Order: sequence, then structure tokens, then C-alpha cells
Amino acid sequence: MAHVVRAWRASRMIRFLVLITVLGTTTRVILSRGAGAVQNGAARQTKIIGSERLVSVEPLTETDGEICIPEPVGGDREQIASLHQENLLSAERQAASPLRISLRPQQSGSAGAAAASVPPRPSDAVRSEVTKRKPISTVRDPRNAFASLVVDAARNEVIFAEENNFSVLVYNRLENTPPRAALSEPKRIIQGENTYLEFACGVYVDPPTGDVYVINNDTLNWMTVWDRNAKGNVKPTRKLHTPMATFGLVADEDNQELLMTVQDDHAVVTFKKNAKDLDGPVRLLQGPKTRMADPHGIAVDPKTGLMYVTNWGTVNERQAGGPPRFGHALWPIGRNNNIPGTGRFEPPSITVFRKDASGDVAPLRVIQGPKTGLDWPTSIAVHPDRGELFVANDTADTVTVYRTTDNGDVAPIRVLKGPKSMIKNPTGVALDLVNNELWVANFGSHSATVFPVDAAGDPSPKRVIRSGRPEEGAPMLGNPHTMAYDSKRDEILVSN
Amino acid sequence: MAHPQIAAFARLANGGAKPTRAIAGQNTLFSRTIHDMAYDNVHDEILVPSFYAFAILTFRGDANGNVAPVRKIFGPHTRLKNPQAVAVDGVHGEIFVPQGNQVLVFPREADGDVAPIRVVEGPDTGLGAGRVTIDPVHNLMITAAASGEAREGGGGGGFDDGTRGGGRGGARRIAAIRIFDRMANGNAKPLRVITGKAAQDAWLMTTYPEKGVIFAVVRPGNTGGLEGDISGRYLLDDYVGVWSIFDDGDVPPRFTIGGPGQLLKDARGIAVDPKSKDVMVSDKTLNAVFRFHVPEAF
Repeated sequence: MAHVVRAWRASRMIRFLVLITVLGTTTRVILSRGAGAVQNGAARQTKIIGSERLVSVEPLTETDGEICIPEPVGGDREQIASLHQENLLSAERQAASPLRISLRPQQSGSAGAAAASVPPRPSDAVRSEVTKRKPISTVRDPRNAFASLVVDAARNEVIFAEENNFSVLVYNRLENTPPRAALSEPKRIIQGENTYLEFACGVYVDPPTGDVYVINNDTLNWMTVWDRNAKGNVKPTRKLHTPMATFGLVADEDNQELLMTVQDDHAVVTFKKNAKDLDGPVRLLQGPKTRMADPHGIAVDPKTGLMYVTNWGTVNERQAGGPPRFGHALWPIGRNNNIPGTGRFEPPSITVFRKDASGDVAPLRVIQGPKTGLDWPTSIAVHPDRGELFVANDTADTVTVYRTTDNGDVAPIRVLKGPKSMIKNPTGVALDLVNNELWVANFGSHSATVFPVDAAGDPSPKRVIRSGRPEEGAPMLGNPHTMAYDSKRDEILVSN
Repeated sequence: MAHPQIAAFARLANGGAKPTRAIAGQNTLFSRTIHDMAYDNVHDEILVPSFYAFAILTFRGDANGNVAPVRKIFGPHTRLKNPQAVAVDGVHGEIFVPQGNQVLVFPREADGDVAPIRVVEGPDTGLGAGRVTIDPVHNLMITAAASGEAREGGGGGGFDDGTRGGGRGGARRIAAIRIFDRMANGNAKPLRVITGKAAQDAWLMTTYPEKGVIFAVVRPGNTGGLEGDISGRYLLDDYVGVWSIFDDGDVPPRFTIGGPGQLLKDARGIAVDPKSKDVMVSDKTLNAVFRFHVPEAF
């Protein structure tokens, strides 16, 4: 009997131990599953085992920096602007906007707050992909844009300073683009990095040799000289360092000198015609008495010895002093000598000087005033035999003609303007004194138009050289610079 | 450059697209190349500095053709001297004009011969400021040297002085992107200074204020034609750099767009459209305007 009792007791103990073991194992399995889920990054959950109880404590990630809030679709500048119109800070305190959450930590400029707010940097792979990304659109005018021109009557050619593609183009003088043709191809093109051509605005041809002189208006402060047969991406025969922002170029053949307007310095500088490299000017006309203001075009009348300069009208004052610029005493006084607050706006004008005027001298005459019709007078040519001045007015779409003896607020004796004339944003005007023709470079329509020298009104051109179709128009992007996004009109604003 | 203008193109314009409108002509009072402008989308106005007349011109946002500005700040009290950059804070109604070792601040509605209401200048500022942009959300004024001198002497402006090696601004300072409190005045220290080669070479900038992002045109090796390098040749390897307003110290851009070693050669202007997450860049040498889609940067 005792044996039976001992066996029963032993069996009951074994069953109890087995039950305890099973319960313990089950509990461990359940707990280990929960831990595995956390380790694998799945959503954390509290496993309920029996009644509710605290299973574990895990600290949250530090969040004392900026909290990223998904940006609402309307969270653009306009939303911000409208918020700010009603006092942004007030709105930030009161409104339940996601914006206010992202604002709060950003109000502080302290280093600590900044360090905590620094967003994570993208991976190298993402950065590399963004760097190589291509644009999804490109606005560009591939056509040649005629900025200025000169006629070589001796060789029956016309030469253009061209801006869109940084080139000099040579056409036959009698080239006439057929109405149905897309464009006329130039007979020679000088273009490429070796040429030192960028934003060429002034061009002159040497009558005896046919050498071509070109000045850049921006970025490359060099005048280049070319053999008349030069073409391609070739180096100029010689080049001359010039002041920044030269625009107009003409030669005084009697004295073998080159005269240039300098927009930046409201000046005319004169070099020897054979100057090169770092040679300095031989004469400088600059100062408040000259009344030059953003000078552009320049012409010399060999009969009278007078020089004509067109001015757009913005100007400032500067004081002499300091070391010579670029080591030349006759280099214009630079913008660093400008006197703050002295800027002013003057009406456009034509100032008349002796061609050898120097220093700060008053003009002999000034054509200026509302009757003149001057409107961004960009280029000027003189006809000595007719005693006439021809002026290209960019934004008036006109060529206005004056007597060389005019003075004050005078109306032009002739005006060329109108749809038949095809004059559109003219930035260059030139005279062919042999064939008595007036040439106009139309920056706004990929064209040059030719008229009889006495044309007036809205005449049809005798000939047209086009670098693009008339209906294409010209965006006139030239030296595109700053930009802005107009969110009201979904437009890109681009300045030249 | 024969014809200055502000042309407007549809955001999606492509190819040889015509502008939808253009502001140009005698009445505009523009002079030559317009180096900067600002669009105030709160008041729908366009601001343009006049480099020769020492003025800040304000046009209606829908201006078109040969139109006059609705306001102009100019005159002896303004202290303006060859302003070539401008930024507007339409939210708080202020205009910022960087000029070398100072930033002038005017009320947005100022008209005529008005003195600046604040001037940030002094040795602690570290300026050279050639360009400025505003983050009205985080209340920051951000300057770039835009000096054409990438390392030392970020005088601001890249001026062709021809008398010395340094840019405008006198003391030789480290070119950088400097982040100031928007209300900084006098000899204020920047809150943060982003250095590093790309930040030193930063020129025109814009911001995406909602996320505190700075977009800057980076022009490595651009000398601005200063004496000693009169060739005027640039490296032609520009790009857009993207930073956070919280970046500080020697920090490279978080993203670069269009280069280096890619499309852009001589980048100038920059604008962003946060809605489409596009970055628009103009390039002088390529004579073009490009639009990049970069959602990662917004």
C-alpha cells in the first residue's frame, strides 16, 4: 500500500512539473514574438497577457529640433504671403496650421537651435543623380541677332556684330533673303572661344584694308581686329584691352584714331588705331560738364571734325583720385570713385563735341527734348554730304533723322517707322555713302533692312537680310541675367 | 549688350518661345545689363536696381512695354551707389540693397530721396555683400559675397576697378554665405556663416522659405575681370548649390544642379517654383534659360 501511495505522489509531482514547464515555455514564446516584431521595425504593440500591465519602458527618439510636417499642397509662397499679410506671428500663435509647427523652432537664431534643426543630408547617390539631371525645358533663341553693322562698300560686304551666338557675320552687300526662305547664310562667320567675341555691339571696317574692328560690350573687355578674310574659331590678328562696357566704335581716319563710348564711365576714350594688347588711351572725354549719360552710339563727321554721341540718360557723378586704373592716366575714372546718392535720370540726348575734345568739357550742342523722338538712341551715323544724322531708337522702333547742325528740342526732319519698314528694335544703323543706302540692324526681328538714304515714313525696304523667319519674332534674350518667378501669372521673368 | 529688358515667359515655355510681355524702353529708366531684380508676390510688384542712376525702381507686376516705374528710390539721402542687386520682403514690407560692405534697408513703399531705415555694416558683419535674399518665414537676411574673388577679399560685386585686387568693400574678408537676423542693424554679427568653396563662389540666390532652403548660383573661379586677370575668361563650370538655412561652417551644398561638369557654363539668374518644384537658371554663355525639376530639393 505504501508503495502505491509513493507511486501516486511521484506521478502527481511529475504532472505538476510538466504543467509548470509548459506554461513557462508558452510565456517565453509569446514574449519573444513581440520582441522580434519590434526588432524588425514593425509597429510596436503591447501584448496583452492576462490583465493590463506594464511590460517594458522604451525611451522615444530625441525630438527637440524641427518636426517635419507634410507640406500641404497650398503651402506655397502665396499662402505664406497671405498669412503674413494678417500678421504672420499672430497667425502662427493662433492658427492650427502645420506651418506654425514648423515655424516655432525656427524663430531662434541660436547656434544650438540651428544645430538641432539641420535637416539630414541626402545620400551621395541621390546627390549624384540630381547633379546629372537634365533640364526639362530650355528657352533659347538659336537665330543670329544683329546688334550692329557696318558696310564695306569697297568690297560689297556688310558686317554684323551678332549677340545671340557671340559671332561676327559677313554677308554680300546685295544679299536679299527671298520672302519664302527661312534665312540667309552668311558668307563668313567668326565665332568660337578663340575669337574673344562676346556681346559684340560695335563694329568698324577699315576702308583701305577691309580689316574688321569689333568691341564687346560685356564680360570680355577687349577690342578685336580681324583680317577681312578671317572665319571660324580663330584668334584675332590683334586685340586691345578696353574699359568695361564699351558700346559704340568709330575711327577718325584723318588722325588714325579709334573712338569708343564707355557706358559705365559716361566717357569717350580714344586709342591709336594701331593700339594693341595693354596700350593705353591717348585721350579721355569724361565728366559732368560733358552731359554724357550712358553713352551708346558714336559718329565722326570728317568734313566738320565733329563727334556725335547718343545718350540714354542715366548717369552719376564721381570724383577723381586714386591710382591710375590699369596703369593708364587717361583710363576713365572708375565706378569705385562714384559718389553715393548722385545718380540721376536725364532725357535721352545727342551730345556734339569736337572730335578731339578731351577732359571735362561742355558739348558744343545738345539735341534733347520731347520733340526729338529719341527713345533709347542706340546707334548713330552721319552723312557728311547731306549734313544729316541717322539715329536708331531701340524701343520706338524708329530711325530718326536730324540735321547735323540741330540744337535743343528739335523734331527730326524724317522718321522711318511702321510695319512695312520692318524696323523692329533697331540697335544698329549704318550708311553706305557710295551707294547712298541706309542700313538698319533690327535686333527685334532677326533682320537687317536697307533703304534709300532719303527714305521717310513707312517704306518697304529695298532689301532684307534675315537670320530667321519674320513670324518667329525674337525673344531678344541677350546676356540673360537675373530671374524671378511670377507666381501670380505662372511666368518666368528674365532680365538682360 | 544691345538691348536690356525684363521679358516674361510662360513657365512651361520651351525652345525659341516668344515672351508673353517685355518691359523695356526710355520710360522704364533702365540702363544697361540688369544684374538683379525681385518679384514681390504679396504686392505684385517687380523691383529693379538702376546701376547708373543709383536707384531702385518698382514696377507693377503686370508691367508691359515702355512703362514708367510706379516708385523710385533715389537721391543723396539714399546712400545708393551702383546698386546691382535687390531683394524684397513683401511680408514685412522692406527692400534690401547690398552694396559691398553694407546692406541698405528701405521701407517697401519708399519713394524719392529716402534714407535707409537700417544699414548693416561694420567689421563684425563680415560683409562683402554682392547679393542678398530674404527668408521672411525664419526672419533671415542671407548675403552672398558675389565678389568674383572666391577665397580672400569677398568685397562684393565683382567690380572691374582696375586699381587693386580686392573687390569693393575695403577690408579683406572671407567670402561666404552669411545668414543674419532679418532685422539686423549696424555692426551685427551673422547668426551663421556657410563657408567652403562653393559658398564662397555663390552669387545670385533665392530661397524656399517654407523649408528653409537656399538656392545659389555658384560660379567657381569667376574673377569678374579684376586687375591681374583682365582676360575676362571664366571657368565656365557653374552650377546651382542648395543649402539649408541651418547650415553653418564649412558645408558643401546638399545638392548641386546643372553641374559641376554638366550643362551649365556661366549661370547668372535663379528662380524657383515650389509648387512644381522646379529650379530655373539662366546661363549667359549658353544664352538660355533652363528649367530643372528637382523635387528632392524642396
